[in-house]
Amino acid sequence: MGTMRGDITAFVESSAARDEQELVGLFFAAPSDATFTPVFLRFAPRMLRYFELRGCAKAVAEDLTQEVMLAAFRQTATIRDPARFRAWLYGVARHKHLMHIRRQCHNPEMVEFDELSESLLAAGCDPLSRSVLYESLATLDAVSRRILLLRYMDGLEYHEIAEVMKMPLGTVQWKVFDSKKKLAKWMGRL
Amino acid sequence: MNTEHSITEAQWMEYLNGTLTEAACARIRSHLEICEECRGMLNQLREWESVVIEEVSRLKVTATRSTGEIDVLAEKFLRSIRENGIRPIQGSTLKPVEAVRLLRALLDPLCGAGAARNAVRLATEQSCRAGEQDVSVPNWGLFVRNLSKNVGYVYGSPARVLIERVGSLVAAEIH
Amino acid sequence: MRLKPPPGLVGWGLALCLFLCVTTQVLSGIEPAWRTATIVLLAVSHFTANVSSGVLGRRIALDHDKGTLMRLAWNLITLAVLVNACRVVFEVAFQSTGRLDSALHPALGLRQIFVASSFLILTGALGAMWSAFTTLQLGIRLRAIDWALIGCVVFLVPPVIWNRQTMGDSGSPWAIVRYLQISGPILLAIPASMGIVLYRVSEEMGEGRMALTLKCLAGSLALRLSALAAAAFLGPDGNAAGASATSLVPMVFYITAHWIFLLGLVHRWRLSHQTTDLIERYESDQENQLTLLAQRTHKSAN
Repeated sequence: MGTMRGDITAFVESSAARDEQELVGLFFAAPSDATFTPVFLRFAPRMLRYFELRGCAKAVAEDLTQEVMLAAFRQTATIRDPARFRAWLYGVARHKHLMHIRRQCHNPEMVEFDELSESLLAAGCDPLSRSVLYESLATLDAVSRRILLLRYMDGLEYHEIAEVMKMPLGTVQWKVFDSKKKLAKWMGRL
Repeated sequence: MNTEHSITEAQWMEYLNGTLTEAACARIRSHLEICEECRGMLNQLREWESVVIEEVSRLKVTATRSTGEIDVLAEKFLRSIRENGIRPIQGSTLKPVEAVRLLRALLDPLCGAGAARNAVRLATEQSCRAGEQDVSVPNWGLFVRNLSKNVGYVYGSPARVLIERVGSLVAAEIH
Repeated sequence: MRLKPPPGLVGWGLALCLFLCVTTQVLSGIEPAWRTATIVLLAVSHFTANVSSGVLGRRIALDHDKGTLMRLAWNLITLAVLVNACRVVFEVAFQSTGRLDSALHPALGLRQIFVASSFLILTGALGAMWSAFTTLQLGIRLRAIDWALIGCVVFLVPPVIWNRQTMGDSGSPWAIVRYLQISGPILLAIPASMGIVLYRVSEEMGEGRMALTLKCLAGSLALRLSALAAAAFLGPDGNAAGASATSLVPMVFYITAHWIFLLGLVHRWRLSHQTTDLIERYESDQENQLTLLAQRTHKSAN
């Protein structure tokens, strides 16, 4: 345990200034638990935030984060390109979240994520439910809402959002612009 | 493409993000000098962005974990993969003939073993050159297209799409 | 694509219709007024099965690309079952006013137009379907048993025609009605023979929902032919009241034939759902799905 903590601390200190793509590239070049540790330390907090800001309890967010990072650890051959890693990770996160919600609902049918997130939010169990941001996002359609959350909450670039949402880049840009105009007008009426 | 006064959404977005070329920026700035509607829209957008950024920062703080908590999670993760002997899957290890078997395994429960066998055999004959008996890496794409077309003809477009998707996924694994 | 009827529901529908129709038919032997209930229930059963088949048939057709034989086949099946449904409506319009005998009410005999049209369209549908299967080299070679069964079907036709006086519209004063009725067994024998070919296709195919679909279609046609033969050989007047073999056997075969046909379409429709679900799984969780597929491949190879 002490050795592991020592490994972690050493990696944190040495990798603090490194570009995250470089860290991912190092892992892809020589996949091992040692080279994955800085990747974990860089991306796990984001995954935790992703799940918690979408209504998951702390323990659930931790479990889902572990699942996502395990998938990342195992599937390097599939991802290949370090530049695609972040978008791929958020795609897996979304899938894991959707599976978790379906298990909670005991409904084997396809459940539309955003309809469900609205019902969760209505129950008041999401920090977004008390924010102006959520209230404004609630006026949008599900796809636009998802795109804006990925952009502003998760900080993804447009091409990464396009990859996560499996949409053309132009469509993502148009949706962001159109949604921002609608939200800006909505806020202007407050 | 929808445009605001001959400026595209992509250009408006890049202008707001500060990533537009200088020439295009100059064009937009000169348009803004004369267009009150666009000025109003941009102001609203900038106001909305600043509110959102402030809100997001507040929300992120509520959902941020301490370094200690992340360390604990990382320890738990490392312990789990070491105890369970989990290793990264590395490199492409699939031969074309194994990839064909993968597609057969996919088709068998959907189409029936007999139909799947015939479909694969037919697609192989259609995709291979004279003298070749098995699918190879260069003609994998052609094989997948023929297989999806043959199966889709009888079982419908969902089956065709399924083979196309899985075929292209498998293509990344073949060497 | 949210419509997803479970096969069990069709089973329940068949069981309910059989129970109600047989019960009211038996009771009609005691109290003739129950005969009306039997006619109504039969009409509801046939109409429900055929309209449901039509809805599913059209959705299945839309699964196929335009211009393909399979799309044509499923569209023709949709048309055939809807013609059947129209026939039911046509008959009920007469039967609800007590006009049960086409000898007395010749216009009732025009239902034979619906019957003949439905059989012709169904023949076209099954022919197109078989032709599509031959592109996968299925159903090209028939076995001796298949030929024997087709022979039985063909040899069944002359005796049925010979006993045509037992058929419902044999007493119609209109010649066109009588000729159409005589053509009925011939027109049914052709799709029934095609059903045997499709059964062979299902055997060559192996397991899976499509094979089940083809078996259901073949079974339905065999039941319809059996119903016709039962009506012809068991005695006159299928409109008789009471719990006699004459009235019950053909009725049970007809009801079952329509619902088994619907069951076949339900299985085919669920195949589309199954495939679409698989696509979604591969798109969202491709790594794990490919791993599972590889494991399955290794298991079957070993």
